[in-house]
Amino acid sequence: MIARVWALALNTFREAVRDRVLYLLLVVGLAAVGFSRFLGEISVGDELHVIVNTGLTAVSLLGVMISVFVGTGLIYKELDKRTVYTILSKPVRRGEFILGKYLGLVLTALVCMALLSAGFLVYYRVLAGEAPMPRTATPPSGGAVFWHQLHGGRITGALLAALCFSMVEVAVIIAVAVMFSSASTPILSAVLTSVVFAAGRLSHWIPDFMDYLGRIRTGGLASQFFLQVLYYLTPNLSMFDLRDPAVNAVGLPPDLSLRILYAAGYAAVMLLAATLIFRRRRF
Amino acid sequence: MADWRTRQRLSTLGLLAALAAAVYSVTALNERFDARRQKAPPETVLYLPKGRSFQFMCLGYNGIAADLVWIRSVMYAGRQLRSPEPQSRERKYQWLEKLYQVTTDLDPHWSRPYRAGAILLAALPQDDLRAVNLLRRGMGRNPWDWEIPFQAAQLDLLRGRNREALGYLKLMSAAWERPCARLAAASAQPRPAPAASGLADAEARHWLELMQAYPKIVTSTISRLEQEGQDYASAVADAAAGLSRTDDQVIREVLGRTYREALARLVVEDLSRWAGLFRASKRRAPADLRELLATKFAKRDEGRPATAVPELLRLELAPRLGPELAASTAAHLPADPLGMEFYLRPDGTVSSRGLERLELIRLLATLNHYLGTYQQARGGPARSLDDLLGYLRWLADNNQLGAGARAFFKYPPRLPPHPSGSPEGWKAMPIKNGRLELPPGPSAEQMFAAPLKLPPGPGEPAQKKAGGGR
Amino acid sequence: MNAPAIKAVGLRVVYRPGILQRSRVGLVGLDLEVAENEVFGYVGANGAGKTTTIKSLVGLLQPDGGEAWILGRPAAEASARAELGYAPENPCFYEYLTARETLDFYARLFGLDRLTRRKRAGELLERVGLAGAADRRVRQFSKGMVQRLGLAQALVNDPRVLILDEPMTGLDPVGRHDVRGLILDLKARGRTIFFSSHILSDVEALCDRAAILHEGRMVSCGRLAELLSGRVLAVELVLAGVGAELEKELAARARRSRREGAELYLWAADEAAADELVRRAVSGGAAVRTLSRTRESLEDHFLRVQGQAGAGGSGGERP
Repeated sequence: MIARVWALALNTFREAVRDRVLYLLLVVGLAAVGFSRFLGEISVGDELHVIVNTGLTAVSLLGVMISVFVGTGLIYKELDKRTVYTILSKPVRRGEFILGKYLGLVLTALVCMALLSAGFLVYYRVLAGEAPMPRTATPPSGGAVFWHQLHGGRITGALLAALCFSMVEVAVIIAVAVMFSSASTPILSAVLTSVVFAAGRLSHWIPDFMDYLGRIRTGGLASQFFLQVLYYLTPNLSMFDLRDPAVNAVGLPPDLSLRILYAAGYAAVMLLAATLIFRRRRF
Repeated sequence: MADWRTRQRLSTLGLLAALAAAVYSVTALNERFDARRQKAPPETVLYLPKGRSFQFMCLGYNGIAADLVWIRSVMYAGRQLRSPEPQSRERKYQWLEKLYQVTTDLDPHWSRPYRAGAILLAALPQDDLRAVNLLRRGMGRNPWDWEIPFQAAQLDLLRGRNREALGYLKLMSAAWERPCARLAAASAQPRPAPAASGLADAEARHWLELMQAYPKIVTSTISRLEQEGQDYASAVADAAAGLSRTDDQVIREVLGRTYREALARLVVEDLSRWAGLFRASKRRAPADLRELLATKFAKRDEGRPATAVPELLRLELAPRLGPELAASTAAHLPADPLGMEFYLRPDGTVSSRGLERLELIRLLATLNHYLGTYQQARGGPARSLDDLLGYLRWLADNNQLGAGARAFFKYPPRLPPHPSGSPEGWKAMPIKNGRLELPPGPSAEQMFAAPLKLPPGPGEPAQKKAGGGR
Repeated sequence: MNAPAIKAVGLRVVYRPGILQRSRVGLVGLDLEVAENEVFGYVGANGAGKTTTIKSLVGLLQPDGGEAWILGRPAAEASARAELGYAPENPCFYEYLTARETLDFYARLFGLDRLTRRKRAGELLERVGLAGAADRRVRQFSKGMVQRLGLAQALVNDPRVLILDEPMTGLDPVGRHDVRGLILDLKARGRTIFFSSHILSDVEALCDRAAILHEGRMVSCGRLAELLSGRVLAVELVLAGVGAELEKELAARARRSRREGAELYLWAADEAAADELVRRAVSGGAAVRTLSRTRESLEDHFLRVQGQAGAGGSGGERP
């Protein structure tokens, strides 16, 4: 089974990598990172802060766009072009097909994100060497020197962790994209995946909403229930956001492995749903 | 007789021409809109959703949003500095606080907006209340960040509020004692980190090295404050050093104002000391400042020939400021760097009318803020400051008085001393429409625009001045 | 070990195109059995359900009713396809891969090791006549080349059972000749071949057994020799040197006649009538050039059977 899944994944990777949209997105991402230097110059003393924020945002958005633009079309293209005929008539289970497609896409996104991250990290190191001490009214204290050196130009573990967790987040979104794309057309899946992504990023606000509703409307049981269901259905993407520890003087949260477990679990749910849908499809 | 090929070429040319025309018209229209936008006052152009909804719209990309709002705030401050509204010649900074609030809400652990925001709020609109509020919010959200209370201390030191400064410095030590999670991680790892995370180990070592410098700064500042009082000479020197290192308009404006204020306080300090010496030697207070300035004193322990006060000021000031600074300020001493004058008070101390007026402006801003709160709470304007104090007392007794108000008014709530030093000062200021009005005189902007030669920045030729020089 | 190569019982497929459209029956209770080492031809009009049947056998479609087995294993399970080869009607491949890479990919899906894959790919490309284009990208292939590649990928696992959907489409006469040769070659090696086709002459030439499908129902199935009634449909006579009067007489007795230059073509209803015509012609002084019997061809059978089925009201549109 692993050999088949791997063969499908590799094939999907080769196919996805040919999509020119990827290169366009990568170029845009690199341009954004390059441009952030100029933004930083306006920002009065925290140039590197801007650069790191831009880098992290660019890598995350690159992954999400790849999921939405490349991921949602891939399965449809397969079905539309009838290349599935020769694959599913081999001893390949539908689930293996879905898994192979998923892994191939994840590999594609990861490679692109890694490229952008590498570009960003190199740029960051180069600029940090040039970046002067932040301008302060008084000569910098030893502590200020320290902060500069800690956050300026040293590629901290937190920064790498933030980049890696962006990739974990994208792996979850790709699973969502695969699930929608096994059931509907590219445009609809793209829209739905984007909606789920937005909802996932905002999902950590839902408990606040529920409290607020509970306070102002005691009779809102239906909406409470609906919100609760929504909260569990949408992926809680804020848990993959490690920007704060990477950029500010805050420590990494201790439960990183639990977060990865959540990602794996959610992706599994999506892929199992996709398999169930895909099994019932006729070709 | 043109065949289809020629016709096709002609139509291609036609399409290209149409394209060029369309591009040109789009660019022209865009430029016109842009011109219209630039004429409009920035407030109408600046749209900022309320804090929470903005966070919502960012879809979790708070960091970059915070950066963008921060950059906007810098640009806004710069724009305000460049173009005061023609009718009043006053610059308005009403959006400044809002911008800092949004920035810090988006990225609450980012230290710089709290500190730089406070500096700018204190220096540009002279709004100490909002500056301190910003810093306090920062301290609340980042209890480990010692730089924020340090900034608060520096602000108080510049204003001569030594006791409050001391309080913040002690808070700063506490912040240091309370390690942030990163510190905790570094200190909790006495054993070398595993090979896979070699970074963690290097980080921890680097941390520990630099941590050595820190406690000395705090302890030395605290001890000096407790023993000798504020050292305005270093404040002036720091501001001058900063000015010589930057060409940025906003930073130069902020540092320039700090420079003037610190210089004024330095001169007041020195003149007061000489007034004390006068009293000690002549057994009476000087009649006025002119008498003091004309007197020649012998420096007790140096056996030098007697020199007049201005000479002494130059002689004593210069070594503390450095030669270039001394040269640039000496020509104007003892003229008030804020454009008003130094004078002798009845109690024998020297004061600067400029400093007093500045202090009054700040106090009025704060008091008017609380008067506004009173008006909202009581549904009508206060008629006198006693009304306000009564209200504050009631709040305090019912445990509803905020920490900021308590720090400002103390308990039982009383007015801070009037900057003029006269106990009747507040009574002479009537409340009109629920607000205290500034007595006629120059505005803060005008005072900071008084002629004074500031140290030039690195990119400027030596003769360049800021804020309207000679 | 005596399980039939392919077996289907009561296969039923219903198409539900959409909420507003009526459902349509694809297959109605189909029973099929193909023994090992048989070449089986599957014939039907467009839309009769040939491809539907094949898709059900090959795992692309889950039937709504009935069962199917490949070599004794249920067709719905992936394991059934381990020894199955399937070539779709208009195969599509990944355009950016070369022919060799394509076969390598499919071989991987069977878990073949690298050496076997390489060897097999080379052999197959040789066999289907694509050896020269082995390293060319599929994007540059002509229709015929794609069709051949389709055959090649069906053989990647050296299957015991081969199911081909319209294998001759798009092939030029040389290609068709090659495919026919391939099928016979595979049969000689003990493989089972099941293919659907429009080209009845191919079916007639290659198959041991055939079935005719009409509107989802099997209306005829069996050994070719049994299907075709063997009845003589007509006897064709070609005479030379026939005078005008003789021609008139003979034409009156024959079912149909036609003069072509010096020769007269006559068609008689049966052998007896033909004998009579020959006697009269010979006695009239004419020479017999050709005498041949036209038997029922598969095409005739097909049209006859379809006509019967249509008249018999077997066109069921509701399940």
